[in-house]
Amino acid sequence: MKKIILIILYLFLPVLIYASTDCLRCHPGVKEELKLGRIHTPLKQKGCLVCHNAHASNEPNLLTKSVKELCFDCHKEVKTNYTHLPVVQGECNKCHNAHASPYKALLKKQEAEVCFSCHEKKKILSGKNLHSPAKKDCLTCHQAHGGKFQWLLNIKPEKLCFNCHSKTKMTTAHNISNTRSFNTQICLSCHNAHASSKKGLLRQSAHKPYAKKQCNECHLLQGKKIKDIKIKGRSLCLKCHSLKNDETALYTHLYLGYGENVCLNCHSPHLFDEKPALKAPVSRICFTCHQDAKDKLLSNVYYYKHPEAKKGNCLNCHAAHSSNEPFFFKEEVVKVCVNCHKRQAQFTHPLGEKAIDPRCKKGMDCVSCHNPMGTKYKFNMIFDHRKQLCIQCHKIET
Amino acid sequence: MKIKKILTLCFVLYVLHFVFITSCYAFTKAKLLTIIYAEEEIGNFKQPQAIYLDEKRNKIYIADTLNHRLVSYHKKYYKFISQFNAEGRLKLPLCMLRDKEGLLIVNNKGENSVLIIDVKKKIIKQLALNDISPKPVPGNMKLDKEGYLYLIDKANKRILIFSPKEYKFLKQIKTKDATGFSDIALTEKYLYALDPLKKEVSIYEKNSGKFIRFLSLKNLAFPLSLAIDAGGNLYVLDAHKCKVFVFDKNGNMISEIGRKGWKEGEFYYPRYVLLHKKQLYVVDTGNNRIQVFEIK
Repeated sequence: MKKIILIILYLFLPVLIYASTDCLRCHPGVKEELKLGRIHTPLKQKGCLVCHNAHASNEPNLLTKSVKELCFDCHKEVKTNYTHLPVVQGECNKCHNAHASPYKALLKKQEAEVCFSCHEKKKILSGKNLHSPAKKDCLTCHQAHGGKFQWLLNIKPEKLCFNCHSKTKMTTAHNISNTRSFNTQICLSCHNAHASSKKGLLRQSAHKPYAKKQCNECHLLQGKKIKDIKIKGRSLCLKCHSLKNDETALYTHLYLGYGENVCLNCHSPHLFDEKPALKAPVSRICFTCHQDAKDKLLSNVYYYKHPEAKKGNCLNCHAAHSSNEPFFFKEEVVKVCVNCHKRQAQFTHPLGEKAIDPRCKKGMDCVSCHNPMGTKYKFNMIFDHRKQLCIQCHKIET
Repeated sequence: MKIKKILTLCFVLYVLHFVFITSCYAFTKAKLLTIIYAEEEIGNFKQPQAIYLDEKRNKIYIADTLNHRLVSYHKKYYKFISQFNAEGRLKLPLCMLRDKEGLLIVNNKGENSVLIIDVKKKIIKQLALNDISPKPVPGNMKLDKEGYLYLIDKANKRILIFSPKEYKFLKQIKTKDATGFSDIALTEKYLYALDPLKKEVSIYEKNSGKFIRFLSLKNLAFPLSLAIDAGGNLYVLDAHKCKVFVFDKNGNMISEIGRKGWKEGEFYYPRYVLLHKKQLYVVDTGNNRIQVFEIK
């Protein structure tokens, strides 16, 4: 008999406790949230203890698992070629409210407004003329979680514009004879896909030959029609832009890149919003190839990051075309840092040939101890300065 | 009794599985043999970029690039022999080779030229690159056993092939859609070209230049240099991850050597790797030194 009572208690006690728990008595904030509208199904059907532990947890907010693991218990994990960073980092709660929301898909705000929590609205919708899809919402062209195509586009980037704009009409309007070569990359060399202060969503500034309507400087013309490029590869750009010093530098960006003319990996031959004739903001261009640097800067693990690096001001420290210094620094490492950190230059650990790093027998510099791109330790230290840093080189004698 | 048998079987399987996993990963073990630093009397290396092993003369040549010189060491004892700058002619030497006749072939990056130097007769010639259109910008280069010179043309994303001895331009190898090549490796039959942005290796038949296939390499950040062992395994140096990754013939990663750092066995933005028989030479550029490993 005793055994039967114990078995019954064992089976039903959790349910009894569950049924009698009223979390909302102490969590009135959540009670208010539930009034907003759509309630998350597990919460509606099973209650708080589906995701939270009532007693203790290693996770914030007493979650039973990490946010990512919890969400993917029910929602299919996103495995795509290009995945939105909050998804990669398991930060579903950046966009979604786990309890309830008046908005679709339990979003924290209305669709486009959620995007602007991270993506600066001023920079994207930077003019009074808005592209129609951008007026609706971002998901007209972009995927929220992940997708097959770059920039989280819904369609192949080469075909995106022609989904709405007839390719034939555009080819005619732009006097282009070769339809095959006409793709979205060419559209974006003049037009901003989101907004512009100029009509036709044209970008702000122009490459000189383009501004002077001297198409024949770069293109072969058949009457008024643009036939092809005059010279293939970067030799075309070198006609006007001398890169002699860059060509003979030790490290150079001038040769590696997609397409026949690598200059066009970074620069726009027609119109641009960012000087000098850049296709996009500096950091976006750099991160196209330097994916590892991007991952580190955006990672939560490497909490301490140089503020200029966080802002995407890569060219404050690094040269864009070429350098004889490591990491494409504009000058010797110490000189680059001291440009801004003048005070720290006055009182510092000995540097250079006066202080040879015993680990590698090389003169010390700022990056012997600091990593501006992101570290786990304060002051961008590579090791914890309280207990690990100094003993890398200095042995403690006992 | 049954439960006991099941538990024993599980334990045995677990142990076997563990042994299998570790043996796979232990496939390529690397033991640090020595670290080559520049002698005090000649001053530290300054961003060395490449190394060449001259088996015939038992020498190792290091391209001490920012010091505008080549430095030679004894291959077996790793002792300094001499330094050479072609009487001031070398400007940012990027890499070098030595052919059967003893001619030194140097990529003189500071002039965007390739010098052919007869050290004994003190004659310096230039590889005829001006006659090749479009004009090449020389990158890394290799010599095969027959003496053919394979030179990366960085500006035009192709590999140029020159004849032995006289180094006359013969032909080019080019792949559509390559972003460029950072290094090449040669076997008896094949040429392997490393594309650092696409993180793939293009394989060609060496004699005909016929494209065979791509080998996609996963989990790399910036692969910069490449070497191949007798078994066809690829040793790929990732300059940003500061490791040498070992891949099998099919592009599956089988092990890794080193990690980011400044200590022995650690690399700080290395830029070149050379494999000779069982010895792996890593040009540890960020630490201004060369590390030599024995591969098991």
